[in-house]
Amino acid sequence: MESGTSLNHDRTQAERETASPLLTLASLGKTFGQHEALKPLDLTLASGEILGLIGENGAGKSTLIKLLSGVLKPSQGEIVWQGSPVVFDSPRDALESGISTLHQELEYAGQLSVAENMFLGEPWPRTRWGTVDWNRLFERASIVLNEFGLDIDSRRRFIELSTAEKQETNLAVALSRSAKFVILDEPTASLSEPEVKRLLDRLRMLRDQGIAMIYVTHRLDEILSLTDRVAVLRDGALVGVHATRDMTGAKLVSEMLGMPTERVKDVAGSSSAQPLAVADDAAILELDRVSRHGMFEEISFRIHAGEIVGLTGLVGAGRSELARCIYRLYSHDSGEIRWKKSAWRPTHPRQALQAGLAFVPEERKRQGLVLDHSVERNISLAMLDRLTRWGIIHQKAERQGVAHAMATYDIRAQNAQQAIGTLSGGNQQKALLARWLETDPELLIVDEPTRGVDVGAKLQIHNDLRRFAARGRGVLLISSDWLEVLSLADRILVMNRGRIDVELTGDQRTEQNVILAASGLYAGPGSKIHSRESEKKVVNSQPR
Amino acid sequence: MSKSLRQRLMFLIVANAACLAAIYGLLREGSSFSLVLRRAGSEVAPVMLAGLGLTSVIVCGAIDLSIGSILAVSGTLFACLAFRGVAPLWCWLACFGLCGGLSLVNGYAVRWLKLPAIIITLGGLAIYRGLALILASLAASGLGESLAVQDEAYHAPGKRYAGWILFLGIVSAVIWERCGKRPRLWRAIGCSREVCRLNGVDPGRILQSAFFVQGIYLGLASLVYVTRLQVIEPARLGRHFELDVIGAIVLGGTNIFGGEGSVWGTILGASLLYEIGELLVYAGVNPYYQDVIRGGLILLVIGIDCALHRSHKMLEELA
Amino acid sequence: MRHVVLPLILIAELVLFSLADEQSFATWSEWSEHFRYYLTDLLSQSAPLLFLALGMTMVMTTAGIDLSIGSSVTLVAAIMANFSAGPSFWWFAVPTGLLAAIGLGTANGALVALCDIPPIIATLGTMILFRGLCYVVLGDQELAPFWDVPGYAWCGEWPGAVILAVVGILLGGTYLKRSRWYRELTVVGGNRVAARYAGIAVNSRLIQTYAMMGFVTFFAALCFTARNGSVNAGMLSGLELEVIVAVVLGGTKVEGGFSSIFGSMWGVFIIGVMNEGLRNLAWQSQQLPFELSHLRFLLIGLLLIFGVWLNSTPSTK
Repeated sequence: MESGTSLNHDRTQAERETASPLLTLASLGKTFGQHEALKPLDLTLASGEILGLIGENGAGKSTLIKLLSGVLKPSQGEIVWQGSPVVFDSPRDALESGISTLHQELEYAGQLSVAENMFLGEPWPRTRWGTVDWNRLFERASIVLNEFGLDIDSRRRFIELSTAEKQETNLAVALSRSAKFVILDEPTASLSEPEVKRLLDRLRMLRDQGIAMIYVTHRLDEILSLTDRVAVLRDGALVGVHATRDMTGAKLVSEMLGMPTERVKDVAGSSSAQPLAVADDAAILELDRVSRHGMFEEISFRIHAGEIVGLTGLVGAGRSELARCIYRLYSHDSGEIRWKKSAWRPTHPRQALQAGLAFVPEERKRQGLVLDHSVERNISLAMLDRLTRWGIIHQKAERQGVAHAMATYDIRAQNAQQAIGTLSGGNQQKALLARWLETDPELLIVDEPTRGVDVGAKLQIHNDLRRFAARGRGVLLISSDWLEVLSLADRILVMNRGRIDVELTGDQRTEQNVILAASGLYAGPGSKIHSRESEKKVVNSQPR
Repeated sequence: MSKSLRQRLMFLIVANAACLAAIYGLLREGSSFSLVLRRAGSEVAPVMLAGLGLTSVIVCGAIDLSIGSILAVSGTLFACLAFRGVAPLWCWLACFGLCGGLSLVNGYAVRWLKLPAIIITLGGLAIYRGLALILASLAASGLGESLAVQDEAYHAPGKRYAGWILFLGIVSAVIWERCGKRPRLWRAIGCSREVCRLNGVDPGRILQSAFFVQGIYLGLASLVYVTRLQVIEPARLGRHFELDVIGAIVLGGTNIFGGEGSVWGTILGASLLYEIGELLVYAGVNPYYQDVIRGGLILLVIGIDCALHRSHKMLEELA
Repeated sequence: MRHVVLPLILIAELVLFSLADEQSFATWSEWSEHFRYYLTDLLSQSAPLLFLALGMTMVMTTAGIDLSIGSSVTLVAAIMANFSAGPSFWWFAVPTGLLAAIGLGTANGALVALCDIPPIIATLGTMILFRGLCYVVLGDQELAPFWDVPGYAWCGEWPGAVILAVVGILLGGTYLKRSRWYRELTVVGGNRVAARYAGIAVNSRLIQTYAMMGFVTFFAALCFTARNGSVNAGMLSGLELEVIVAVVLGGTKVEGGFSSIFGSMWGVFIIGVMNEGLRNLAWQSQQLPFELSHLRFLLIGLLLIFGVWLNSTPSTK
């Protein structure tokens, strides 16, 4: 299959060079007040081409996408679509011209059925009385879903779908609208590895049908394997467009960050950490056959002082639920949790915090931060215990503590009073991490610490976590990014359908083992089941 | 339709039946049950009709607290025109038109000021009440606090045709909800305005249409409500009307934050509230206790419902 | 921007009303005498509103709202009015009233926090419920034991009411505003899920907030009854609207998470001056085609919308 694709690819490449461009951006730019979100840029795109778009958070990727999809109007320059300049007054205009967009934020009307969500902006089939023909509507939706290989009942309410199903449904819609040009903004953010693989295959197929795409992601491996050309944005300006064949991960990163290649450590990192020789009595947290019905079953593991334990698996395997249970947002049904050899008694997160357990949740915007509040208030939230005398918060100490944290963790903001919602995703995440690291807990649980975070912030966060563990603290790292787990964790626990059956240590920590274990196919050290058949199983065994 | 909404509708059907049975059981000799039912049609009509309209606004994620005051303004206008001897038909049209117009004004205000509907219409609640009072003293000065409409000709919609107007309102609302696309779009913007924007549906226009539809139903409600009265007091007309209507809607299982709801719920909720009021009268309960029982009942039903879904909601919120 | 707009509105109101005022003063001392009278009257009129605004600010900080305060104040007054007047009133009626007030607030809080009913629905329900209870307690009669209680009237006039209110504001505006408890309320209002994740006891904070609202309700009831001397069951409906307008004008966001206690005080004075001014005007001028008190509804509504609009403009963020 590989060779077939590339042959095809070469042919289309040749055709492309003779054809006129599908889309041309002529000094397109956008300013918000004083702030220049996107400096004027020129770019062309031909039919049947996939253009990768990368850049740190705040580099102007979202602005460019919003301009192309009609959500925003350009301040200057123009979009030339199929040879004639166009102005999109609304997202509808863009859709009707044949530009389909999959937005990064998953937006849906949860109470409506899947079919209604899929065709929200389009006319619905009518009976001859003028009423909505529900049967035909649901049928049409089912056809689209089936074509995409999804087994979802189009009558179900959208909110009942799992995150991956929601994402895939939206993808199916975006790709089904006989569009000539598709914009994909981080389509793989909440997909697990087999689903990602399937998506990429589908995109290659669409490319061969002559559909042009812009593909935005933070994951460089996808850029390298999928795209024909890659455009790099930095600080709102287009700094380069390259043929992907000539690029490597390191080169891309150096261009994104604007520093020479030698200074950029490979982002994926190599598993530098040596397995620690820790005595059993240093265990901070110990779980013994802990279960909660419908979430996870019979979980047993230990975390020692000074080590980073990675917890990975497919989306929906029950990792975050387990973390929330340890943090006492809810309790477990059976089994025993021990904290430094005595029973774990807290009934409320506050008591867990006082005992020395901190938890950085998965979705920083919804679960972590108060977006309207200042950076200072968001960071100091966990320090209040030591800032409070007679019920009053000591303001000067608060200011100093926060200033110290902002310097230590390199949180870039205009000042501490700025609303945290206005910071870039990377800085928000660093601030959230800083809030909990500053309390100096004995054990830190971090859930997806670098999701949607740019490369610079990612390196920084990894360093912070390593330094924290080196001080003799424990870290439980929950992540879907297998490279991240491989590069940080001393031991890797792999969760599959609510169970942890596999623990990878030492040399067993390879990407292949993690992938197999996440799908429940890892048979122990030494075994090498990696036939075509098992690969097929990986694809089919999806998380709910 | 979600499970909790279905459960609520089932509960309402059972409760309605139980209430009717209880009323039937309490009827004294000589009064006929069918008469009670026929009267119920006209008495419940204002709340139910306004409820059908307000449901469309609430499922959009907005709310209109000013409907009681709108009723007061249009009722006052009606009475003033009747007082000047204008023909009944024109009085009715003016009353109906003013309701629709003010509802549209609310819609425009919400759309253009980009402020929460609850605040705009809370302001409207005060503003329209003031307008009603000023209108009354300007147009019919010297009559003091109340305007009398004695001529029977003016009372036709409220006294003779209320049942039919209600029937028409219910049938149209039910059919439209079952077969139309617009009611689905209202729910869509109630769930997420952003998803509509991205799909090229203008949420402002959809919300506007909900306020327009509310205006029509509210116009009918006010027509029925106002023309039943012999004396119209601008200061008291329609006071706490919005509470009755919102009570009925919430009792009917419509999510107060939008996104989900059914006109069936509103119909059943309004009739249940009315039946309970009647039941208390037939049972000879001290009228002072009626408000207590009504308020307590609304709280009880909603409280139990919310408490039942609490742990589930909490998990959903945390996830 | 709000720091400029609020005083400006207040000054504009004062100027407008004094222009419309037909009184004229020959001497400076006559004017100052009048002004002193006006000020004391304004302050003691506003005292109950100040208390309620303090409580409402806290409630709205948590993204809640309390529509039941008009009914609660009346109910507390009604309960106290059923005790016999005399010195023993202080030992029986007042503590009972205080307990009742806190109880009513806690009931609201429990509905919001434990049953998880949206605050606007819960307090709409209790608004009807408490009003019904007022009628159950009082019926159609008007009870007036308050002025027969020795020393009670002090709470309703200068300087008693003002001293109470000032103590309330100072405590609220200085201690409370900087307290950890209040900070946690702000977080609960700003993002409830994040508050849970940060280990804040969200439910008990909510109950405490509404209980606090009940607590200040008691003082408002004290001031009202001491001033009026009597209570009837239909009293003070529409009070919640005035208080909400004051709080919103002061810069508290209805969506929660941002509040200003001192701002609410400005809001109360704007409302107070408006009420007082319209009352004075209505006394003096009879030639207008409609009653001036009707204009109050219009102004309150417009002020509310204006206040929220002011909160939503980006320059204040």
